[in-house]
Amino acid sequence: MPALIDLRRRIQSVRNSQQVTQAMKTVATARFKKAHRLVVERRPFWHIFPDLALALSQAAGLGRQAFLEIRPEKKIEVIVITSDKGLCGAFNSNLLATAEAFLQQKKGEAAVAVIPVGRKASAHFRRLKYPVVKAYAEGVDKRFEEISRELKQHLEYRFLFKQVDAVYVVYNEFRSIIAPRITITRLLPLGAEETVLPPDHLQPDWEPEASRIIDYLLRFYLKYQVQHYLLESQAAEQASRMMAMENATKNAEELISDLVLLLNKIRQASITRELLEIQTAVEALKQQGV
Amino acid sequence: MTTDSKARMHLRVISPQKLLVETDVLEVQVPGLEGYLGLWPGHRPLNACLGRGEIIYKTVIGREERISIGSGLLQVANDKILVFTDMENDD
Repeated sequence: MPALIDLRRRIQSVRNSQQVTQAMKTVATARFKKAHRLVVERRPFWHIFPDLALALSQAAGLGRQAFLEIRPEKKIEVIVITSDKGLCGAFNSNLLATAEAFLQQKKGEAAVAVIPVGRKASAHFRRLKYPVVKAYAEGVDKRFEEISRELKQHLEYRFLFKQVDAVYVVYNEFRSIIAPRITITRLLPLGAEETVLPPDHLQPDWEPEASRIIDYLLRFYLKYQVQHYLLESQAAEQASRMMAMENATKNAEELISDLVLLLNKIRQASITRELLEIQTAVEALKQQGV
Repeated sequence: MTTDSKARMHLRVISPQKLLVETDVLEVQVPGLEGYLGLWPGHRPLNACLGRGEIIYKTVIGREERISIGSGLLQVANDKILVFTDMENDD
């Protein structure tokens, strides 16, 4: 039977941890709200823009142009986006497992290189045998503008000079607070395998000519898509952390109530025992006729 | 082409930061590169670049509203008007 003092200490320490998880949950909630607003407001652009770019490129019949060129995938790069910090449940480990499975599958067909974004991904891929082209391990949430610009330039260069044939992104898409959705998507090339012609065959007018409009449009494609993935991942991370800390707080509460119950039982037992001992002593004295 | 006087179009103006306008409209004027373009229902498909200026549109209740945009891109197809704008910002 544990001593009362030990139990009391234990309860106190669980209570301290609970306060910490509670505080972290509050912080995560505040950050989540901010990240969530950003994601929701920007989603219309993110979702409609690539479709439009693709549709316009196909309407213009420029299937062979720059970002749209589909080459046999001999060299591919995979961007893996995780968080910097832990304590967000299975957020990172699930994603890294999926990413690894994906890399394994692609490895047979092409030379695969990785671009880890976030400290967790960087640390993970340092231990594995995949070549790492570029890694971002520090302050991904704070420096995201800078990182998205750098990544954009890097990818633009690599793809246009045919140093890489396709770029994939593995990231956590924010779906709901309960769980993020791990998404694998092809960032480059933008082109689709088969041409989807719009239902009406009225040829659109172009003003100015098609190639200039497409060039103008595609200038922005990479930049905003990279931002898209980074921000989605951030919103999902904060949501996961919120849930993880919520669960931790709840578990601590349960643990405390169990421990308090045990404590009270032991206390009561020792009181009963002491009373019994006193009573026995009194009876014994009575019998001796003192 | 439809000649229905109640014919309407769907207008969406989207910037990278947010959805600026999403509404049904009766007519729209947009700042093209070489002056304003008027768009009415039944307009033929058009892809165009837009200059800096104001989009002026008449909502279904007949009120005229405006929104200023930086340069951008316009797509008209099937009475759906899609405008992307302000993409140069926050670089």
